[in-house]
Amino acid sequence: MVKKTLLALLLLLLLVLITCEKKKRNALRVGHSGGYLSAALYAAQDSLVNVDIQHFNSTSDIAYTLLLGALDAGFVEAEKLAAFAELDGFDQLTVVGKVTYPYGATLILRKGLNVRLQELGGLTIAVSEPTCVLLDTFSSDAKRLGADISNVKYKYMVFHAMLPALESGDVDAAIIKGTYAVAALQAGHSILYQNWEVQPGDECCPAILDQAALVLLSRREKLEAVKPFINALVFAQKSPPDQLRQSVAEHSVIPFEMLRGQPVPEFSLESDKLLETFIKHKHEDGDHDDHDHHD
Amino acid sequence: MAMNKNKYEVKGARSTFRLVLRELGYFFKGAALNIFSPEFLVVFIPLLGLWEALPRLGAVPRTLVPPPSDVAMAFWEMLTVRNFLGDVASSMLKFFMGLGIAIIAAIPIGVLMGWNIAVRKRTLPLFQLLSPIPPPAWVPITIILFGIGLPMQTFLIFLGAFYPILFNTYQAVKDTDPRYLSSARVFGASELTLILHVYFWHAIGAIIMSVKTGVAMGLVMLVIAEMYGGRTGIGYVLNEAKDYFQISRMVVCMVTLGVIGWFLIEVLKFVELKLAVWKGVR
Repeated sequence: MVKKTLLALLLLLLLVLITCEKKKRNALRVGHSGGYLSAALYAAQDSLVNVDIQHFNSTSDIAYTLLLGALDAGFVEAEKLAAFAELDGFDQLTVVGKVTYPYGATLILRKGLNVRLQELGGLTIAVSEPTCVLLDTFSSDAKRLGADISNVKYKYMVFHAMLPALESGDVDAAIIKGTYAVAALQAGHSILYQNWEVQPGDECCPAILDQAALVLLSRREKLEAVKPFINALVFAQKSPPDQLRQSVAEHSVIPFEMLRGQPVPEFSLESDKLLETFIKHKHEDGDHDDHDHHD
Repeated sequence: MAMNKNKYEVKGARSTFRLVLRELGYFFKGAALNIFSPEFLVVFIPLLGLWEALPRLGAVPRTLVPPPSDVAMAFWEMLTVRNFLGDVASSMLKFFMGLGIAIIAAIPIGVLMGWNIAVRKRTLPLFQLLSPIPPPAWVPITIILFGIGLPMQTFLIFLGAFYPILFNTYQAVKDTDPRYLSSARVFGASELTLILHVYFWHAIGAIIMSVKTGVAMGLVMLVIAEMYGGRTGIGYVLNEAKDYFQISRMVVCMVTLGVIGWFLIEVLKFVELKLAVWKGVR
């Protein structure tokens, strides 16, 4: 009797597992890398039906998974789009949306360091390029505000290396783009200066053609299935800014208080025209590998 | 008299030089024979041909699975434009520092743990607690402790190589045949003599084997370490290529890591052949 009951229970469990797996297989599979930029996704998440949202550590992993067809849609960093488009199989994908975030020049001070703009002399600041629009904006603002930055030491590195450099004390401050500000605050650093007036269309390095931070790509054969998902994101985007920030706080480890005062990332519909813009710029730029240099 | 001394010194230096050259010759001959053996080539060449043919025939997407010819072109481009050799040198510096420190630390501790029960009881539980922690899990703490850069990267490589060398050395020393120890003691050998001339030499085969494992783990950690901080090294180039969809470059880095690993294993096999002669060639 016990044996029969156990066997029946086991079969029931197997049936439940198979049903769940089948249901999951029919669901729309969407990849994202989390963070503040996923605000609209987080806000829409609770109302989404039959959508399997998968978290990835890097947007290039999302791109590869999309190509292989293991995802139906996914958010990929805009700056990687042109390179991604060169891979075989990209024609199976199409741009359906984007998340924009102001590029903004932001000067982050490492935690524990309490100085004013006029006291930056002698400090080491991480910047992405010697000729970067963010550095130019900061320099002219500092000059305008009467700060002497002539003896500031600059250390050049990619944006994603700046936070660990601040953490380790390798640099005292970093000039980052707006999208990294929340992560910096989260790590306990402070913002000394921020200017959101860096306009799109600036051809400086790094290119700010469109302030798109993320691009939502969909597999062409899944376009119809993706539409309700996109509509849900557009609807969620209409929520008041504080509600969007609250959604981020609820679904991630970023506290709500930290997001106050930061612009809200904006999800909107987009087409392959955005891709054309990026590809055109890449070719105009002489296809240079601007990430191809050493310290 | 002084002239004669000089003559003997020059003669000695010459013969040492000749000996080194001869040993190097043996080493390269042995390594080349391993890789270019007919048995291996029978497997390797068809595989290489298949790898070249499949993307060219369109059976697999060429941008995702670049054929060896594309990889060779990417390698040449990386050598001439990107200074890839600089990246290899930078990685090797970190790798040998990490591996070297691991060898220097792990072998004496392992020998002491295997030799003395008191040392073993005081240290083994700690290492057994720490060793299951995957080395990548140490990354955040390592960044806080060492910052980003060479010390942090060296430490991560050290962590990867340390435990395999330590535990294998300890086990091999512990398993020393008691008959050898008794024989040595009969001839009045001190404990230091036992450690240096019996325990160590009994364990030498296992130690070299563990260094081979350490090399493999060290290379894994090298790639992980170079993901954080700094902008040089094979691991950095590999990750950058992955992020920017440059698959040929990615494969170049993978092949380079494979070749480095193979070469180091060959070096260790040669060292084993020289130090543990009694093990013979199999």
